[in-house]
Amino acid sequence: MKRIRVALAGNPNVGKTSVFNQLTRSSQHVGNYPGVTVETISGSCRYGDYELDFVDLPGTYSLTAHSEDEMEARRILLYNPPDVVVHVVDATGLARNLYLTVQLMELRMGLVVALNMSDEAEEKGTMPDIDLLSEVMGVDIVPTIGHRGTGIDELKSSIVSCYESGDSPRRISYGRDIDRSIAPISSILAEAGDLFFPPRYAAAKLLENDEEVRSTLEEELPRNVFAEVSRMADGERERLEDLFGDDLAVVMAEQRHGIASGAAEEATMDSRARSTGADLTREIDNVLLSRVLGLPIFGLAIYLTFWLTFTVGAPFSSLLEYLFGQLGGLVESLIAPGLLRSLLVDGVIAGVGGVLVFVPNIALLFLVISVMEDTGYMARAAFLMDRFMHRIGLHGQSFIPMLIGFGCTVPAIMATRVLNDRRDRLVTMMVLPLMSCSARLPIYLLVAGAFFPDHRALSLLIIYLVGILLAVGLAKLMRVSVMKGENSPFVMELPPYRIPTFRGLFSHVWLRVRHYLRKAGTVILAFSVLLWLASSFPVPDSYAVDEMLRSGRLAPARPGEAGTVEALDLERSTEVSGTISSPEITAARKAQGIETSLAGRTGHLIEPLLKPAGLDWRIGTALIGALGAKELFVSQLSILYSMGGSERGTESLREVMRRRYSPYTGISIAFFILIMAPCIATLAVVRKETGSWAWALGQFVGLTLLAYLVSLAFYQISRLFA
Amino acid sequence: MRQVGALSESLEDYLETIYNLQVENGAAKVSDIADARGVSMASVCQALKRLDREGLVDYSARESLELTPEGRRLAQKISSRHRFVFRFLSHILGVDKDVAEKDACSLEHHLSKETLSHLVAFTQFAESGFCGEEKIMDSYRRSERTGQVRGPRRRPRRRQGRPRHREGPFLSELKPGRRARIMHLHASCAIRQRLVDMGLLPGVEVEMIRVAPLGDPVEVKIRDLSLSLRKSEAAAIEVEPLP
Repeated sequence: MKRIRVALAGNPNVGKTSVFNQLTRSSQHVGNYPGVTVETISGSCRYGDYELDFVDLPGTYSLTAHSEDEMEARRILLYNPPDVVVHVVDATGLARNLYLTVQLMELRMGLVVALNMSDEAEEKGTMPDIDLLSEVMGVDIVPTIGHRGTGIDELKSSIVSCYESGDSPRRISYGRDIDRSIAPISSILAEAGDLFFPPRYAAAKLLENDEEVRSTLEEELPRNVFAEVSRMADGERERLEDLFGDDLAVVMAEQRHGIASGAAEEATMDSRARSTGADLTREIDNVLLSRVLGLPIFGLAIYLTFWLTFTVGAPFSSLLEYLFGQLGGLVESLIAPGLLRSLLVDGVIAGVGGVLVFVPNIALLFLVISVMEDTGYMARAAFLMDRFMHRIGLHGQSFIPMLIGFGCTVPAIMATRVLNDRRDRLVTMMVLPLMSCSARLPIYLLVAGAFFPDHRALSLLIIYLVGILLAVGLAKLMRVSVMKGENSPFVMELPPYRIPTFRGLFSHVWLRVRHYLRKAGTVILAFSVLLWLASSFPVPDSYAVDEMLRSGRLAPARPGEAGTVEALDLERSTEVSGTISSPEITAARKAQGIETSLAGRTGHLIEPLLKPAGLDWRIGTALIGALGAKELFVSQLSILYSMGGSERGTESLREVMRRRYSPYTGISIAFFILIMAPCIATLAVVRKETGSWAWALGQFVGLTLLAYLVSLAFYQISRLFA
Repeated sequence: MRQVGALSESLEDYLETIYNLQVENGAAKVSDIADARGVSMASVCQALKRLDREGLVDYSARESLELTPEGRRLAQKISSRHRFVFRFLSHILGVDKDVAEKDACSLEHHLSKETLSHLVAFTQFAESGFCGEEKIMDSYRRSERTGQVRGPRRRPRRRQGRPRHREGPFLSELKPGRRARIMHLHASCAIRQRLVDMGLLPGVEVEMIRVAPLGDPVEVKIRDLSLSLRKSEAAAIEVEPLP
């Protein structure tokens, strides 16, 4: 069987993904937001004797190399050329869609145009004469209705016949002056041998001064040939720019627009649209984007998002936690105490539970985000918030991820997918952990309860504000240093409102959840086991409490009675004597276990560093535990203070802290927790979303360093005044 | 290859006129040439015969005539020189438009290739360079007005694109509900390319729909497409308001 490789290209919001779904019958998201297809997705189908392999390119308006999506689409087309390109075109906006067709024609690959949303165009009265348009453009055109599957078989047959005929589209003319400049360069390139690009395309791009094509040619061509063509192109560009009095790239783009709108006008009989949907969209926007109601409605939408993600999701998360707790209990009852049991219960089951506990939140969040995207409201959200976000060096589209960050950083990082520009996306991801997530709340409550019982709300507010201010500062800093460069343009389509389909929503949510489980889940699990290892090994040779029992200094208390000695007393001095109850014995063992483990030893090791920031080795060890998940800080610390089981809980930990530490240490802890390295789940997701360990680890190290510096500065300065 | 300056000044002018007429009207008639140059039909015929001999024009006493490929190439050269010199005089130096036109007519024949290429380089530098915080050209115009000359305080930065002299009004100044036609894009290269890709290009009609509640960005409509853009981006789009 023969295989035909087909790439699907098209503007955002033209129903490209629904055509893709119909072609491949796979479930994939239908986006209604610029740039929703961040990674390319493929699928295949059979037609006659052929197997058609499809790849869905990111939605782009153009193939110039100005945004991440465009670059990606272009790279696939240029360096991994498909046999046939299907351009999905929105029939209701023919002229602006054909602009991309013209650029695809230049690539000289087999091209078929799928005239999608032909029902809407029919309704609006803007449906072009297919035969005439096909004649004018010189490509095969098939009308389709993506969401109903109309025209899909015809499209497949057109792909096959395009492949069999081997025809490539006709040449694009840029007018006599430019064509004449292209010709000599193109003929030199043609003689130079096999290139990635068609010679005429390469010549045109050289004239336009396209950096990427230029540097590829520099690598591909013999040095003298490259020098010659680039000299020619520079000379011609200068001459032509003089002639036209404008940037040549813009002149050529105008020419392409001219070809596109000319063809559209010629083929559309009744060019005056009977406007229908667009006006409804405008009416809706008159309310949703109005001066008075715009922001309140947006606020309400955000509140609903939060409510759905965290409040509605909470019972599901608790249910999962409960189930894993039960499972852990079951295993504990089946296996004898020891390392294996600890590995299974505290390592594997806790790790898997830690992964799954986020699933309800992620699923619900992406349900809301999908609804916003598929209806077209997401673009409006960016429109409403851009001024505010732009001030702090970010993009309107960063607002929603930042807000979600107060709930949980993991889904927030995933929500940055809505950002088109890579730099915007990276900056947002890097500062996101400073939006204090809900897992840190128990720690703040512990500190505030211990040191500022009368001002809990105020101290919480201050901590959150410090986080926001640091995020703003850091974003600005990144913008002027590593992420330097021109602000990405905010030129963005506000697509017409559409009613989302159930299938589209479901497949989007499913795709994201699956993604999270597969990619992030494995890393989170691996790190959970590693962390368990670090806080369990090496095991102490003998426990001090056992020694003391054996030597008779301590005697076990009668069951059900409290002893005269508590586990915590042991730690202060080994000179105590009396009776000790059996939970206290266990607590003492656990505390010693952690202290001698790798985590505890690391805590001791870094204590000299921590001291100036007002922290000691116990807090250091607990901070290492907090890498797993922030809320572990509290449980880790209570083990270290031999609080043991839940009988005494945080109430007494609070008292111990008040006794042992100054309020300044408490604040220092809060700052450290606020800023320090995000939890491993975040680390894994950042790694996944940026595609590189460098960013994930850079964030990890950078934020921890910042946390240390802030705590240190605070503690030292406060000591001066205290 | 024939260079500019190889012909007599007046023959070059004829060639340029023919070329301009061809571009404007599609054809150059003897009578139009005579009108444009302000001379008699007879002298036009004389000149045409000489150009014909030089192999620059295909003239066989017909009413309309054709430039030979070589003639066209030479005419283009002359014409683009003319436009460049005019632009240099009026846009860079600030010479009055009529005077610049007249001077360009005579200067275009006498500039050596070398001088011309330096002038082109200088123009580019002047149009895109910076004098401290200010663009060199703005600084020059101000100094011309005030009679005060100030040297650059800072190393000039290289900028992409070639900003032109701004005239306005701009898209950002348009009130909601008003329509306008785009005249020119002043934005930097990357943003301009993006604007053009989205269909915001000279000649296109735009309608200002609304301003976001916080005062920025704005929503505009071109054809059937709603776009949002920041005011700073809209401020780079020169428009002609429509009633």
